[in-house]
Amino acid sequence: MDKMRHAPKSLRARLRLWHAAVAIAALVLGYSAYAWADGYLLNRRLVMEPADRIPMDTALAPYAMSMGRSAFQANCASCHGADMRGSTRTGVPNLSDNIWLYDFGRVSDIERTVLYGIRAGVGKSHNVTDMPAIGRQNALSPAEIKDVIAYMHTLRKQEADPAAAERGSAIFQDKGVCYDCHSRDASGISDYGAPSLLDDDTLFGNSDEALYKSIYDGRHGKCPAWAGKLSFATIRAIAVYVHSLSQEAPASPSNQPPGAETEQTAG
Amino acid sequence: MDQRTPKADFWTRMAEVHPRRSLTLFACGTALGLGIAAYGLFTAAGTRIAGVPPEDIALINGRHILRSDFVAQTQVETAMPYDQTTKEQRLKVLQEMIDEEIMVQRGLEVDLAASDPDVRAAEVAGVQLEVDADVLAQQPSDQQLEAYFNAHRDKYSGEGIMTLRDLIVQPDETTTPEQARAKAKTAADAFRKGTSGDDAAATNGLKDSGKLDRGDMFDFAVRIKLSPQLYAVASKLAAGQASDPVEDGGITHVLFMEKRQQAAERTFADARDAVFQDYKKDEQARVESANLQYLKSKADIQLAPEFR
Repeated sequence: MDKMRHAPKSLRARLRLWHAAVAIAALVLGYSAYAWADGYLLNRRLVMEPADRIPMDTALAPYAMSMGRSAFQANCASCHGADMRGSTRTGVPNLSDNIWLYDFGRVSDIERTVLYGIRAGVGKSHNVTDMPAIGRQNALSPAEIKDVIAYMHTLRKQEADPAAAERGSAIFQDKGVCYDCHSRDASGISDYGAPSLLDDDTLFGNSDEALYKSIYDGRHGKCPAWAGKLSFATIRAIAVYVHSLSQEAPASPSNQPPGAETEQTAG
Repeated sequence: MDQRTPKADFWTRMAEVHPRRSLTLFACGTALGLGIAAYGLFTAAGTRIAGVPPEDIALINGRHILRSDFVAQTQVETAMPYDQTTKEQRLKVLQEMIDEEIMVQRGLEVDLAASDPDVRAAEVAGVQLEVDADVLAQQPSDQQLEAYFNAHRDKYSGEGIMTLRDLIVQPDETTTPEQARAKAKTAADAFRKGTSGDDAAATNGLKDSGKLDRGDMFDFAVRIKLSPQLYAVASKLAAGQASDPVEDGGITHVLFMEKRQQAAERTFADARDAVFQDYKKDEQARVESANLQYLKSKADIQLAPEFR
């Protein structure tokens, strides 16, 4: 202090400036270290927590959402669209609703699909079955396929020729063996990725032509596996993000986890 | 007077610079470094990360077992939500996963694929599944299928049937090529006028080439057995027609078409299912071959001298 008091005025001013600069640098460094540590700890928790608990975690969920949003836009939006609504032209599913081809739409379910894909050429992909080419394999004639489509319209409370729908119902339950994957009540079986036929959410659209083509030629959709291409934290964040946006929409009857009774399934 | 610092003072008078002390420290540092390097070199047990990454449940020789895989496996094995499983159940599943990973690594270590045909077949199938995934997922449009149909029409026509005689003039020293052609032409004229093939051949000294069976043959079988030049001539003949003399391989041939059922053309609508299958098969073959081509371009393949 004594030295300071006797130092020239300009030197004292320069020293004060230095002190201020050092204090600011320390603050910036301290904050950066805190932010880094916070991010590190959140990232660590993100990959360690059970996936289905993350949406309820008030600290983790926003972190995963912001990470998942940008990762989705960079990696998934090219097929599913920035709004996640997919495309019936290319058969890419709408992810903004709460209807899931595979499993029940929980974060852990979505995570598995993002990790290993659907028919992605990886052993752990969803690859149990696909929509067979029922017409091409001569299992049903074109007229019988049209009857099944009429039956599908009645399932969705749409107009259809009643006689054709009745024939279609019989084919669905017997000759066509459609019930084997789509279940007797046509609510689908998400273990196989067999969709519910009770709602309008159809991968390739609801036109008669699209439905005919699906039954005649079969379908074999694909989603790439992201394991090894994206970090696990990124994959989980995408799952959390996709899950969060689907929560406002009602679930399909085929997407109820075991034990979860809803009005639709109970009815 | 000796101005040198006494030996003991090197280590006590640290404020002074002394080259001998510096050299001694340098030599000690070098020896220590070399010692550590040698220890590391001769006792190395592979690189090891301290701790398991948070997304993994275990690391086995550096290979990860993902938590997500572990949770999924536990749920599959116990048929219960993960939260409801006991610690014992989880440990059992984890132990099984570790055992499996160790066995897989052992398989790689002893290079099972080199000796076990099942492992080789599984690896080939796995690689092909990966390569074919895109093609299998593809749904060709009707336009693509029709273009394919038009480019491969011959595949979608029913096979024709022909009863064809391929007769030759027995070559010998006394028969000139002109005489051989004349004999063949006379036989062809006789066949066209209704003489049986056998009579027309016997009268003019012609005999069967031996390439064709007597009786009905599918077009494709005739195509295989005759030269392209002779098949091109034969495919244009109708029943009861004979060809002009044809020189093929230095021998004079003449062809008699005794019976003919033309190949039936199918329309695209009739053939669509077969076209779909063939289109997919071709696409699959194309990507598999492109993949092999790419892998071969990266591989160092050396052949024995007799196959170079």
